[in-house]
Amino acid sequence: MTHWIGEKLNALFSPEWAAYVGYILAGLAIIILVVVMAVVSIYLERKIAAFMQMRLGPMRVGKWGTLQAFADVFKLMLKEPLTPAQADKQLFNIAPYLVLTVSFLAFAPIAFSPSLQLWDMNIGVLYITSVSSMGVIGILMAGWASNNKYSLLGAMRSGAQIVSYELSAGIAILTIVMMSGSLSVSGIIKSQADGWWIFKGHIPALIAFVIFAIASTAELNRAPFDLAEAEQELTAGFHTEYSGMQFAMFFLAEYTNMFIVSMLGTTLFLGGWMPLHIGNWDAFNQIMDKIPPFLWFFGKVFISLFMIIWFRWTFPRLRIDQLLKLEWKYLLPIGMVNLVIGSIITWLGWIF
Amino acid sequence: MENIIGSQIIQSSDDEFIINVGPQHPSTHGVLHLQLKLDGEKIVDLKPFLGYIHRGIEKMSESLNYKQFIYLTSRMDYLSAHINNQACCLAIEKAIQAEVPERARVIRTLMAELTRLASHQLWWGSTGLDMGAVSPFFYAFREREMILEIFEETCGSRLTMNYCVPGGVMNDIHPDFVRKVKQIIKQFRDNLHEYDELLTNNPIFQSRTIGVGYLSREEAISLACTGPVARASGISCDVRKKEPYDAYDRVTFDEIITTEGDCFARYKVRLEEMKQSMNIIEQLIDNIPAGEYRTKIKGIIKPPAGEYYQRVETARGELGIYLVSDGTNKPYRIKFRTPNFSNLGALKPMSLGGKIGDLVAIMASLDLIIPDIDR
Amino acid sequence: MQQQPEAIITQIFPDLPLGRWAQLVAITVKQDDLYTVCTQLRQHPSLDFDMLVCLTAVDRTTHLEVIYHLRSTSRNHDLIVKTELNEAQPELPSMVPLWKSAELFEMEIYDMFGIVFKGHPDLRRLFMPEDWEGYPLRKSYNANEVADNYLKSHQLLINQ
Repeated sequence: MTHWIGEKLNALFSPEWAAYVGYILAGLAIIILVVVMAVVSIYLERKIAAFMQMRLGPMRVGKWGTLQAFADVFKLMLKEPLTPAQADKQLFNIAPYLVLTVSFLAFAPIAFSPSLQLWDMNIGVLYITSVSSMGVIGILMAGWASNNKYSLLGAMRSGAQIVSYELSAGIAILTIVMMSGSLSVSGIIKSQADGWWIFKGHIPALIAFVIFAIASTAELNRAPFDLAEAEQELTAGFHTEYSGMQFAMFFLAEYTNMFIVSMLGTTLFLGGWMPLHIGNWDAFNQIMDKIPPFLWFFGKVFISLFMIIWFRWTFPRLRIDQLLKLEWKYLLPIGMVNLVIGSIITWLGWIF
Repeated sequence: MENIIGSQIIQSSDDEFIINVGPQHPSTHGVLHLQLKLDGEKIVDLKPFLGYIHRGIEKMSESLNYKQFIYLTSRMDYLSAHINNQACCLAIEKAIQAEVPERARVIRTLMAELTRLASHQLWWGSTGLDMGAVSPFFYAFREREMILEIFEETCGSRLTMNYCVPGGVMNDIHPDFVRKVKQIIKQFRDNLHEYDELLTNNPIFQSRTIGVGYLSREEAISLACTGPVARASGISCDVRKKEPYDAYDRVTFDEIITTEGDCFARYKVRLEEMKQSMNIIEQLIDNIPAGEYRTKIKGIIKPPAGEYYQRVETARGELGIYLVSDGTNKPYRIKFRTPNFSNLGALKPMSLGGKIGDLVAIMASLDLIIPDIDR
Repeated sequence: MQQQPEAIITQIFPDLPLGRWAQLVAITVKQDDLYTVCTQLRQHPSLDFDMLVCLTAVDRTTHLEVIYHLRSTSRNHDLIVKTELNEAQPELPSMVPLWKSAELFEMEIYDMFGIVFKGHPDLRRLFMPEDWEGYPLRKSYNANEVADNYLKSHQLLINQ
């Protein structure tokens, strides 16, 4: 399909212009994809939460409440965007856009299927982790610029939390990168052609998967690590003073980050767009191959998304010192030991 | 007399941080305004400011007659509304020495235990909510709805049921009452394991409540704490055992006492109390004596001049009614000694030195109802 | 079941008039002796009244009556201590050093009756606004008048 679009562009424009228009179209496609997925995940979260709590969730707006997210976005667009009187106006206004931009940027190297990848750079995974860690600047900006004690407290806590958990997430990612020997997204996926890393890498990969799951839930500021935006403790934390479209930006950024984290986890541990092959069951493998790769990819992403949503609605919240203690005293040492063991095992060739 | 007005908390150094929690806040159970002095995340000083829901119930009662002021008390601790009404009726019956038929006593006790059960269910749901687990709230309300439906069928109102009158209850129970209550008890017993799975055995919940908010036995006595707060610190203070009223002298149940004195101990005490309430209901539900549901009290109620005192065990502690009568048809002075008023005094010693997250856990375990404090 | 401490009280305080308040044993104490009597009640080993269950006041038009309801958790008996105060100079020593529950009770009585407790760590109006005039639970209090004056002085009345 991308070839077909490429030919059409080349027919219409000169080669350089065709390239530029191609890039713009690809960027637009990503933006549309992100928005659609955010809307879908908002709806999913509300429905899953409702079913876990023995109620129905949105049912009135559209058939079975499917248009609820649109209604919410529409309402947020019509709300008055307030800026507090003493707030730092430039920082206050830039913060939501910074957080959102950073989330969009991380979609570049993700491979949705063998032919659908925006930019296959050779440091794909490094790019994703470094770009998404810039989000913390936006959060701190928002908390500081709001001129509100509560927002400041929330932003400080959130900043401490994100910076700490990035270490563990990074080490978990390093384990897989080391096992597969490549930082590029397509390289990692190709190395899973004979089995997903979570099966091939057995114990080290499994431990890395658990650590990655916990660390990325903490990175997202989601329960059970959502102290920064805990309603019961400090009203809404760092985005208390935002309303209208700016609040929608934070909201959107959170769901987009959820997707990025799921996609990263899927790529690294669950094989990306690779179908599930079980050993020598040829008939089974051939049936699995018939399912198109992007369906495999999105299926795995939605399963991870479901797990993240499940965590939020089941567990109570951790206190800030328990949260940081979990990271520095438990996850980080375990992660590092796991990395060392993983490297020894890989060097000895004891992976499948 | 010099002008003594207490002041707000003073900030004494640049590192300290003064924060107002409430009066509108999702986790103070009512309109409670606290001023906290924080040093980083640690609480250094705490001052409660009350009066946001002060309606002057004691003063109002002085201008209403004896049958009317009872229903003001439903609005004090609205989650134990029936028990508050029961206390007032018992005090008045003591004053005029009225005989209450056995059937009425048993019905009142049954409704009181159902109220206690409903109140603890709501407490459990809101504890989960305060800790961040949103789903237990819905599970708690699933069972509570059934109890509220029974209240509605029996007395017409779900929360502030004005069911007790001096001399008995206002109307007889409907024919389906026994069957429905048994159904509720059975369903709740089947579902009780979910309560344990969701919160009690959850390591995150335990790490947030075990060792948090310790109240020693001596301190609890000195602060006059009653109810589950005191029982978790090792004080035996259940009024239903010390001075049985209505039908409590003919049922057997355990008084749950633990000695740890932290939030988790208070949590466990209330969970066990729910089970004991179910035991009491099961003992009484099959043997409701036949007979009158009410003794008609003729004429206007005019207790002889003097003082009368009655105490009952609400879901939160000991409610004491001090009634001073001057022989007319209106009370001269009524004092409601509410459990939450004294339990509020325990908030400061328990939270000093802890963090804000701990403050939320402590308030959830104290189970304060602010209209009860302010009256 | 509750015990009655009459015997021990008459033994330790032979001069104080003993009576009944509702069904509880009550002793009447003069304003000046109150603190010493209460200290004895708190600390004497065979009395051991370690809980101040309630502290309340009644406006008997001629005088104010303050009532302390004490309980001993170890000996399982209750006692009422009554004092009578003049309306012109209502002052009492604060019981906060003996029983911590007195802190909130005394604030409430100051708010509602105007009785000043000397030595209280933080005596302020608990329920009414800080600049409220008058003491609501006194019989001489006219609610409508005071409320109207307050609203007028704060320019809060709708039709001025």
